Order: sequence, then structure tokens, then C-alpha cells
Amino acid sequence: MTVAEKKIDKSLLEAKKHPMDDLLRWDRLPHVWCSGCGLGSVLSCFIHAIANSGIPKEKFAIVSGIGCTGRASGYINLDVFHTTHGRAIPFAIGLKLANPKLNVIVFSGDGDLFAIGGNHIIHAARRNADITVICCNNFVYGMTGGQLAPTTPIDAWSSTSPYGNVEQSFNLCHLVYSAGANFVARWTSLDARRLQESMEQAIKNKGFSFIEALIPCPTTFGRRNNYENGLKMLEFFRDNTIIKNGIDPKDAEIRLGDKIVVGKFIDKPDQLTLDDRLARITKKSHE
Amino acid sequence: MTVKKSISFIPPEYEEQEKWQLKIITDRCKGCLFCITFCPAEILESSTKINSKGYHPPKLKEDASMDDCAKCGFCELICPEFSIFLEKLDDSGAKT
Amino acid sequence: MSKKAPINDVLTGEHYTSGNEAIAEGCLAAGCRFFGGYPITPSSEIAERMSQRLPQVDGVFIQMEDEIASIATVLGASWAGKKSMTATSGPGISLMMENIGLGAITETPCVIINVQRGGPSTGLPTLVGQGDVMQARWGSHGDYEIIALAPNSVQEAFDLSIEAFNLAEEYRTPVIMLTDESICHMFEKLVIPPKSQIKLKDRKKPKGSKKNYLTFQPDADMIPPMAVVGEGYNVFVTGLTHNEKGYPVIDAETQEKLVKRLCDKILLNEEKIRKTESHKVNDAKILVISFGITSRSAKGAVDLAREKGIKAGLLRLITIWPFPTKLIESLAQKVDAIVVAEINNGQIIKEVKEAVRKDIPILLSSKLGGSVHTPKEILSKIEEASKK
Repeated sequence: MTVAEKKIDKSLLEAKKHPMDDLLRWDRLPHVWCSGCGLGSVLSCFIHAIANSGIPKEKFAIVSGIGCTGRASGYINLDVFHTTHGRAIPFAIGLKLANPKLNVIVFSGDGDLFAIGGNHIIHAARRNADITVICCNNFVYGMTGGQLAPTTPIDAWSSTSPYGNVEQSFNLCHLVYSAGANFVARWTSLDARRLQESMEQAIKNKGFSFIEALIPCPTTFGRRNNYENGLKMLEFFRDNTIIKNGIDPKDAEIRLGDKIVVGKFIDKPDQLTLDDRLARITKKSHE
Repeated sequence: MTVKKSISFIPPEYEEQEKWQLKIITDRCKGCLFCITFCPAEILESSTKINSKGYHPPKLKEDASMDDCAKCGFCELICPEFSIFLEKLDDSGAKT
Repeated sequence: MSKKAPINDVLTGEHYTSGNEAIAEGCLAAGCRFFGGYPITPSSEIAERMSQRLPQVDGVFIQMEDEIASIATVLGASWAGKKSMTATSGPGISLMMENIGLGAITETPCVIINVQRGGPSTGLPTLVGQGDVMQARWGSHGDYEIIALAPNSVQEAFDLSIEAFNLAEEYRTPVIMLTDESICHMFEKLVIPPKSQIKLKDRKKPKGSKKNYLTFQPDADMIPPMAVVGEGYNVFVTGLTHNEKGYPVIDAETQEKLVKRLCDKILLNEEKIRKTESHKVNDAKILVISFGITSRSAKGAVDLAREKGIKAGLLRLITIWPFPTKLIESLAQKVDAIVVAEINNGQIIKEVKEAVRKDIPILLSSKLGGSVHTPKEILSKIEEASKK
């Protein structure tokens, strides 16, 4: 189909293979996520972070839960686990404790990690389990149609709060930090470079590292809450995000429609991890 | 992995040494407009073509060329579909 | 057993110990090197012993925040290559059910000890029950098969722990040990053989190139070789219905293929897996079927019946699931009545009734939890059956 245009064809060159295809299960692309969904961008930052980390590919194990974000592991060409709803973190802890040489990353959603999985994340942070948790926060339960989540802003519309949400939402970074995490960062999916950088650091860090990535869910949340498509929410992020590195996460608020505070809040390297202490116990028991 | 980012101002005597090309796997594109909207050099726009899923993939603007591209790789990083990417070619136009 | 055990995985020798400790030692002897659990009466002693012994054999013990986390941890550890287990009781198994289903569909070898107590709900935390038999088989949603074993002595608790791990590794399935509070808290003699005499089985390893490895491609025996995480096999493990690559495929054809294979790999091997013990069955006219602690009283009842001239015999089930349907069907042809003795409101008896084709009376000798049958109680049911 041609349109009357100038002599020079401005189409981009067609390619068969993307540079990151070796790390992707490219035979399953295009993925199931909607047009304008932020998950693809976060996955892209994640794949670039893995490629840049310098860690051998076979050492990675990616564990995800149920939900749109949980589908991410299915597109990654490493050892991947798509487990039951809310239980990705203990599964990941089992993998890590049984083989401490693995670099275990949990990639899951806000509902999966903080509602049904809430108990597990606070204990994992408390124990300083040596895993990285990347939480894609779209403020809602996306896959099942847009139900209320612990991160849904107060007064927002969701399919199970049609008169407006009556509950306060969690400040995920504050919760995880209070439980004992030693690396906490929050970025939007528009802050792609900073997100990639934080991911690289979190992957290499010892101890419990937590990254919250704010993403648009245009289909079930955005378009019912004044962000008609993914682009509109990213534009909101662009115009209203304030970066405050190093602050206490309890002061890092998210007020959709008003302002969002992002940044690398907490970075306390070199704390003893769960594996370290267990290794000491093993040694002690031999005496 | 070598850094894709390069300075956007390239002195004339170095212009010939680095050739970059924006590429796309057209059928992966879902027309989200992220690359177009957030390109810092603003050289992309939606084309009128449609891919096999019915979306309009991006193309270079009429008055833009790869010389205007900042080679920052932001479109590649933010593309949710692993569709658009920046590739470095050597002087002969072949892939390095 | 003294608290300061030597640093060996197999404590060869004669011991006087409880069922719980025997199970812990049995699992260690079987090669278990990971325990993820949560305390619950009457199984806590297993966790306590494992917390002491596992570091000594370079294993890992972790107490998780709840039973759901425990079973998830166990599945993860199994994929990382360790033989892993947990121990709990009825309420904990109820919590674990979703992930037991995950273990079944992802074919993850692991062992789950259920020290049964009186139920339902909180029930009788410190007293015996046998009411979790059906739950072991049907507890999780959807169609799947499970292997469940029931010891009736401290020695057998040790032996069956090893058997449980071997079955889990061979058939790539969660295996539930349906023991009970009486067996686990009683003290008896335990003889642990030398390590060289203990036969262990390990999961099939993949052959061929890593690039061509398909996570769930079964061999002719319906069981896929299992790769270990961290070696470049790029496994794809999902709880969604999946094809041989492990990729989720949401359609009826894939579901048929996968679920049929998961069930058949156990059902079609029922005779291989089955373990029973017969006592005076050959010329019996009244067959008593029992398992676990009840079978000890049943044996006494059978002997008392014989003294009274009633030709009774005992079939003790050691494998509860897959249920030995064919065996019971063939035994039923030769007897005039069957008595099923169990500490619940009638669970095994349902399977027995389904297995038996002949029109003979099948009576239930039940106690609902908290105490074990006396031989006289079972004897009275045998007498009642003989009059019919």
C-alpha cells in the first residue's frame, strides 16, 4: 500500500532479529501485553540490565507469580519459573538456599507481591534473603480485568470499587524498607535508563534488593482513571515525577494526578545475607 | 557490550567513521507511540503503513535522516515490543 | 537418640527412638538436603531434628513464615537440584494444597510428611487421626495423581522415608507420607543399616545437547528427564497447562495430552509402586483392611478371631495411593465379607467398595479421632461380619 510521498522512503530498515533476541524466547513474541502497557519497557530494561551485568547467563533464575507481570518470565530465555499466585518469593528463596551460586530474581506484580504475597515479602526482606525483587506496579489487578489492589489510589475507579476506592494504598518502598530491605529504588517505566541502572546494581548487590517500577495499565486502569492510553500516563510521569535520591521512602509519595517521587532511596551494601548466616551455622554445626 | 550512546554532535572529520541505522521488526510493533513521543531528537512519526496486526509502525520524519538521530538508543530501550532498535554499521554499510 | 549426634548422614546402628526422629533420620539417609517447614503439632519434632542435623551434613534447614511458603521453598529447592521435604499435619496440608498441585503439574520431586491428627480444622492437635487420606489424593483442584505411603512402626517410618524419596525421584512427583500422631510419638527400636546397604534413586538427568533440551519432553516411560537450574538448560517451568517445551498452551488438546500423561505415569505403574503386607490372608473368609497404627490393632483382632474359629486375615496397606484396586478386587473374590478399620468416618472404605465387584458385606470399624482401636473393637466387627 503506497501513499503519495516524496521520493525518499523514510521507512526504517526491516530486521528479522533484535539484538536482545538471544536472551528472549523470541518464538513467543509478540507478547500478550496490550499496546501502551509499561511491562514491555520494564522487561526491556531488565533484559538490557542482564546483558550488561557481566554475570554468566546460566547463573540466573527468574521467578514470577501470576498476573500480567508474571507472564514476563515466559519471554526470558533463561531458567524461568512461573509459579502460583503470591508464592514467587518463597520459591525463589528455595532456589537460592539450595544453590547459593544462583542469581535469583523475582519479577512480579504489585498484587501478587503485596496482597496475597505480602507475608512472604516482608519476611524475605527481614531475613535479608539474597534475592532481587522487581515489582511492576500498575496500581491494579490487570490480568483479571482491573480489580482493586493494595496500591490502587484512594478514590480511584476499579472494577471492584466502582464508587471509588475507600482504602489507602501502600507505599511499597516504605513497607519493604521497614521490613529490612537494604536496596530500595523506585522509577517509572519512562525513566528507562535509570531503571536499567538500578536493576544492574540490584542484580549485582548482595542481600535483599527491591525495585518498584511504576507502569501504565491503559486497558484496565488508565482509561478508567483519566489516562486514556499508555502514552498519556507516561506523559504524566514525564511532567510530574520528582527525583529524590537517598530520602527515607516513607516520604516518597505517589499521588496520581499530582506528583510522584522516584529515586534510588536506600543503598546499604554489605549486610550479612541469609546465605551468609546459614553458611556460618553449617560451619558451627561441624564443631 | 559496547555502549550504543554516542555524542550527538560529531565533528565533520569524524562523520564518515560511524554509521548507525534504525531498524524495526515491523510485525512486533503495537503502535504505542513511545519511541515517537520520547525521541529526544524528534525524528520519528507514525507511518501510514499497517503491519500484520493492524498497527502503524514508526518511520523517520520527512525532513529527518539518520544524521539527525542522536544515537542515544532510548527508543530501543523503551520499546515494549523489542521491535525498534539501533544498529551500528561499519563504513561499508555492512553490520559490524 | 542423644542430642549430640555424630556428623554422619546415616546413623548406622540400633536406636530407641520416636517415629518423628526415625522419619528425620530416614530422610537424611535418603539424601534429603533441604527442609523448609513450619511448626505444627505433632510434626514439629521432625523440623527440630532436621534443624540440628541438616547443617551437620551440609544441608539447608529453614523455618518459613507459613506452610504455603514452606512448600514453595521445597519446590524451588528441588529445582535447584536438592532432594527436599517438608513435614506438617492436617491444617498445614490444607494450606499447601495449591502448591502441591503446582508440584504435580511441574513434576517436581519432593516429600511431604503428614503426621495426621484429629480433624477437621484445629481438631485434636495432640491426638491421633487418620482423616486425611482422601485429602492426600483429592486435596488440590484438577486431575492429578499422588503417591502416599503409610508406615505402622518406627522402623517402617524410617524405611518408608527412603522409599518416599526414591518414588518421588523416579516418578517426578510429590509424595505424601500419611503417618499419624501415634506412630510419630511412640518410642520403639530402630535399626539403621550401613549406608552401603541403602539403595537410593535419583531423578533422570537429561542426555544430549542443552540447546535441544525440552523441559517436559517425556521418555518412553512417560517421565521427562529433569534438568537442574544453573547449568544453562533454560528450563521453562509454569503451572499453566504446557507443551513439551514447557510453553503454556491454553487449549484442550494440550490439556488432554499433559493431564493424561501426568495421571498415567502413576496409575499405569500402580503395581510397581504398590506395597502391602498380608497376615493370614491365604485362607481367610473375612478380610480386614487397615493401615497405619490401626493395622496393629487389626492384626491383634485377626489373631483373636482365629482363636475363636473365624478365618480372618489382614491386608495392611502400605501404599495408600495409588490405591491397590486390582489387588483388593481379586482378594474380595475369595472372601465372604470385608471389614475396614480406620480412624475416620469412612475414607478407605469408599475405595474398597468401589474396588469390590462381588456382592459381599463391607463393614466399617471406625473411630473418629483421639484414640486407637483396641483389638476387641475390631474383633466385634469381624464377628458381626461373620454372622452376615
